[in-house]
Amino acid sequence: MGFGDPLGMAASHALASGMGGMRTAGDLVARLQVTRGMRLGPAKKYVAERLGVSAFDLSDPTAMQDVRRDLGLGRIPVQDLTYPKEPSAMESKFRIAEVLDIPINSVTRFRRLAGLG
Amino acid sequence: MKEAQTRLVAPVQYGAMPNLGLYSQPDGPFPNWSELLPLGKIDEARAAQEEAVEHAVADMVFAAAAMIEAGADQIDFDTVGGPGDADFLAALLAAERLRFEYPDIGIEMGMAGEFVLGMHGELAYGGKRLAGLWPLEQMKVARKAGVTMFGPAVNVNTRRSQAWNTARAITIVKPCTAGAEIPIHMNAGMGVGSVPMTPIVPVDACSRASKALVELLGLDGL
Repeated sequence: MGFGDPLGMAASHALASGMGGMRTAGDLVARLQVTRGMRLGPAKKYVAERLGVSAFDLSDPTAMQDVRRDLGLGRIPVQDLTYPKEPSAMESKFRIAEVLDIPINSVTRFRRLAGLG
Repeated sequence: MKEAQTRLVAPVQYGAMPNLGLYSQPDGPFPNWSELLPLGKIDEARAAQEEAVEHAVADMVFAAAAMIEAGADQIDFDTVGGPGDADFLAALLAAERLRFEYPDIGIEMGMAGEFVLGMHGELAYGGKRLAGLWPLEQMKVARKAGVTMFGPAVNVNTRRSQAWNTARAITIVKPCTAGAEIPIHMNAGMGVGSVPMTPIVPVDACSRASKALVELLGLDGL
C-alpha cells in the first residue's frame, strides 16, 4: 500500500475505520446488521454477550483468534494454521448461526437441500 | 454465488445498479425520456419512465431472487436514483417485493447522489413524493420498503478542497445518521463521500475522509 496504490482505497478504509473483519469479529457484527437491521452499537453488544467477551475484545485480533478457534467460528486460512478437525467455511457458518442465534441464508438452504430438516 | 458461499465465512452479498436508463431507446424498448423532455413532451416522458419502472422491478426481483436462492446473504441495490426519481421508485418496489418473499434476507440500498432528481416529478412511494428527497427522507422511505441497510451518497465538488467536501458531506448526512433506525453505510469512494474523484485514490486523502466520516457521523459502516 502506498500513495496511488490501486488497493489504497480499500486498505485505507480498513485501517482507518475498519473493525478487522475476520481477524476479529467484524463479520459477526456485520451479520447482525444484515439479518436484524441492528445499528453498530447494539450489534456489538449483542455479539459480545453471545460470545461471552467485552465489546472491546471484539476488535482485538489476539483475543478473537482464541474465541473463534474455540467456538469454531472460522478463521483466515492464509493467516492461521488450520487442521483437518477444524470446521470448513460452511461448517463454520452453521456454528455462527447457532452461536449468534440468527438465520444465515446459505446455512438454511444447505440444510434444506441436504435433507437435514 | 453458491460456490462462493461454500468457501467463505464472511457475509457475501450480490449488488447491482437499477440503471433505469438501459430501458430507454436505443438500448431498451421505451421512448427516451431524456430526448422527450427537451421537446416539451412531458406526459410522454413520464409515461415512458412509468413503463420502464415496471420492467426494471420485474428484472431486479428475478435476478435478486436467483441470488437469494443460491445463498446470498444480502442484496445490494447500488447507485440508486442516478437517473432520477423513477429509478429510486423501481428499487423501492423491488425491495418491497423481495422483503415480502424473503423476510429474513438483508437488503441494502445505496444512493447515487445526495438529492433525488425529479426526472418524472410526480412519483411517490407510501404517499411520499420522491423527487427532491435528501438522505434523511431517502432513508425513511427505504426503510418503509423493507431495506435493512442504507447508504447515503454525497458527490464530490472537484473544484473544492477535500476539507470542504468532507464538511459538506458530513453536514448533509448528519440528520440521516442522527435519525436512523437501521445501519447507515455511507458511500465513500472515488468521487463520493469526500474521497477524491480518481480511480486510484491517494491513501492520505482516503484515510482522512474515512476517519472523519466515521467519527463525526457515527456511521455503522462504509
